Amino acid sequence: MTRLQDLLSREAADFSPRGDLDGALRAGRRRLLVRRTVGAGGTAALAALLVGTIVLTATNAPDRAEPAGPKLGVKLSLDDAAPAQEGTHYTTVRPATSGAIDGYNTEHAAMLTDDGQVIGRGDMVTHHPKGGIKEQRSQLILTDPTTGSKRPLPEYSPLVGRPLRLGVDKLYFTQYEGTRVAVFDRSTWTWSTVEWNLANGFEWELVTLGADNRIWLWGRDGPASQLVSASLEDPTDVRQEASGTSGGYPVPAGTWIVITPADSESGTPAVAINTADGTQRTLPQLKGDLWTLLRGRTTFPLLFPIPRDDGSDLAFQIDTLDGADVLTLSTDDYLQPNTGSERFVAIRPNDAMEPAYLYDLEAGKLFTMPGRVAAIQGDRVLIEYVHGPAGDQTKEIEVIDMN
Amino acid sequence: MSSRDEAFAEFYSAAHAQLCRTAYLLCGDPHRAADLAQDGLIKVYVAWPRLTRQGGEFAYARKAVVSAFLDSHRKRSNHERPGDTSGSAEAEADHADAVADRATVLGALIELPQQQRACVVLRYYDDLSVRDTAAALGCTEGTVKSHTSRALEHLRNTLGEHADNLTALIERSHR
Repeated sequence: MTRLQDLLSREAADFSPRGDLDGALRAGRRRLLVRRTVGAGGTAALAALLVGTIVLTATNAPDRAEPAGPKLGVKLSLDDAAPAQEGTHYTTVRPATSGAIDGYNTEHAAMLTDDGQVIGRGDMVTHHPKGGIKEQRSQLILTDPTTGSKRPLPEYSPLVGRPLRLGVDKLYFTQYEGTRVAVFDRSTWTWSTVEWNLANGFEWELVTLGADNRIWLWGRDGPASQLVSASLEDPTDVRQEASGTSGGYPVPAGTWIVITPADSESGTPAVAINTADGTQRTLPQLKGDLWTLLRGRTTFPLLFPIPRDDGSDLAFQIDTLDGADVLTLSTDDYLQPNTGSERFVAIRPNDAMEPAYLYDLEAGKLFTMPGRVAAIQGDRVLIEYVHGPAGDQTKEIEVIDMN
Repeated sequence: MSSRDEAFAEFYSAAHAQLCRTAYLLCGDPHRAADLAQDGLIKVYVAWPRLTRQGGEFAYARKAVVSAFLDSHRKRSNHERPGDTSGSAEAEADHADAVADRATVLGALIELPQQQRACVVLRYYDDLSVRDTAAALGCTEGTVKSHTSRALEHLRNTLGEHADNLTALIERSHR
């Protein structure tokens, strides 16, 4: 032992603190309760009230502030997938139930909010007395999976499209007209719209909502293209991020990705990562549809090259943005990532009706899920069960928490 | 008591004193050290099922303690020097020869910037490798080496005759 080690050990040895196990247990249970309350939804107001606590707690909590990160270098085949068992691998929050309620006879396109509630789209169909559909209306419905209570959101025009972010206090959606974002305030239960004045003549596409609350849009006018980001708080704050690209979007840690038009020889796009300090790094040429998950709601920087059947074995590959191999999944089927969180990636088999696989990035384990995975938020997973033949299908959704 | 509570209680008993001592060397204040350790253990309780699946409960707790120390230090006033909490250490310097060395070491330790202090405590009290220290601090191995090197240099200058073999430690810290 060195002298310094000896001195430090002697110094510390005389400090004999008394512990408070009961206090730790009480405080630990309280924090768990807060997490579960917010995770399970509760009321919007309660969630909004508690979110500050969660953020403050997360600041010091290594498990949330600093995710463990993916286990690297895992190689599996689909045969390695173990069926996810209730009680062992997951806990059911809301058993499979039909979305039908109050005339909303279907529930589809279900997603999870950041506080674990379900946002689904319900269709209300009314019929003429003599038969035939009189009116079909689509409505967004917020469901508390713990109690099963449902609350339709007010209708809003222009029509609300896909979700960009489903937060604890606000929900953000694309709209089907113009370059605008529909914002739903869960505390006042009202809609509003944010709209920007962008270059005329361009055909704009909303790409995603970045972590810094800037919306990313890609516009095209003939051969010209622009990638811009615009503030949700200040509609005059519009920033051109790149031009001459075929797409792009932000990823965490102050970086963003630019896709340049496909190389005519390889037929695949070139991809570059831009960092906040202005440097750009081109990624190695990747095969396949690598953007599916990044275009989704995950914040985890993963790439998904999916080599197609080119004579070699099929494999599903997940890499980090730094190029480290996370998972190589050999398969006889065509797979693609479906949705994901920082801990899980759902992998969809070729037949979209088949149950999905769920890969635990931290544990390096692959599960076969009981149904299709529609959404993941943290450890919460929304499962869909589809019944009946194509064209006459009914759907049930189930909410589970992975252990 | 649930099985989770029972398992956690066993871990608490085993880990509490060690975490407190690490925290004490970091902050120099026994009361604050107890608070840091308690908070780290509460975080372990919250994350318990996942930690027991993956292992590393103690490393997680230690990381929580170090993070809480560094975070709280950042929030403290610039006027509040860490050394201000070491009145007891200075007083001990007047005690018998047996405690003189320790008082000198603790006094020198708490004069270090918090990152350097954390590196010294984790490397030479908790006996962590450069890699594990970097993981606990959430920084690179290079940062750990440079912090440790500077810290040992400072300790050597401060401790004088007590630092005979710190030169060797400084050389080792570069490896």
